[in-house]
Amino acid sequence: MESVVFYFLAGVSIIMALVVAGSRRPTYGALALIVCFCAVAGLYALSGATFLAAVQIIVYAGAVLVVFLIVIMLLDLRGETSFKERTGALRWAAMLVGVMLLGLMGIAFDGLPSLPTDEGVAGTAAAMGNFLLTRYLVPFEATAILILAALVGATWLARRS
Amino acid sequence: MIPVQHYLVVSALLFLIGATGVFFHRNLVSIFLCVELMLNAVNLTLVAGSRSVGNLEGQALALLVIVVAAAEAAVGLAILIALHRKRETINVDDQNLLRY
Repeated sequence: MESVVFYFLAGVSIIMALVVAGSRRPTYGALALIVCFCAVAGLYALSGATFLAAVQIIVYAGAVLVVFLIVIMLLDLRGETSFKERTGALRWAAMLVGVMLLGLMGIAFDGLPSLPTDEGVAGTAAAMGNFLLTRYLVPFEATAILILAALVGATWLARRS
Repeated sequence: MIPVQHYLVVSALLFLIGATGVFFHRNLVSIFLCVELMLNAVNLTLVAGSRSVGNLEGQALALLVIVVAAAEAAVGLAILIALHRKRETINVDDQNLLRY
């Protein structure tokens, strides 16, 4: 049962990733990416990271990609003629880079030692909260400053001058 | 239990698809989407590693990656809007202000 769910979610995420990488229109890409992120959230939950799965759906699929969609709508790119992908040699070069990366990953996985499959750790909200606010307190607070700086910078960049 | 290697293969494929998409597109929004995909693939690796090792470090790191990715998306999209306002195009081949 668990493996059926795993392979279903993995298949959905990879197919949707292919749609993201191959679609001509960014709107379709963003919508496919929402489905892909939900599938990856399912994979997180399957491996015990339930809090991270919730964060993935709320922050990524819910907030970041909606901002993407809003920006796509704001820009009104219908008249733009640049929605063609790279043509000719560059397109084949991109394909070649992909195939070469695939070969590299095959080599990397060939030499991978067998890893243990523990199930002792459960990333529930309580466990993650405890961990983040004790051991990872400084990085956690640093991200608060980072996101504040990013938001101030973003509003400044996008202002109408 | 699903072996950790299967998670790693899935995340490697997702990263590969994202990286190829970055090379493939000329539209800045699509490139951003592919970068988000790559960040997510790395997060999946971190979660699988966290399960394999048996502690929460990987998941905490994945959460920080999500926060940084949100900040990156905010700043990136703001740059994109400014670019579109100034130069009327978001085709990456047309952006050559910093060349040479």
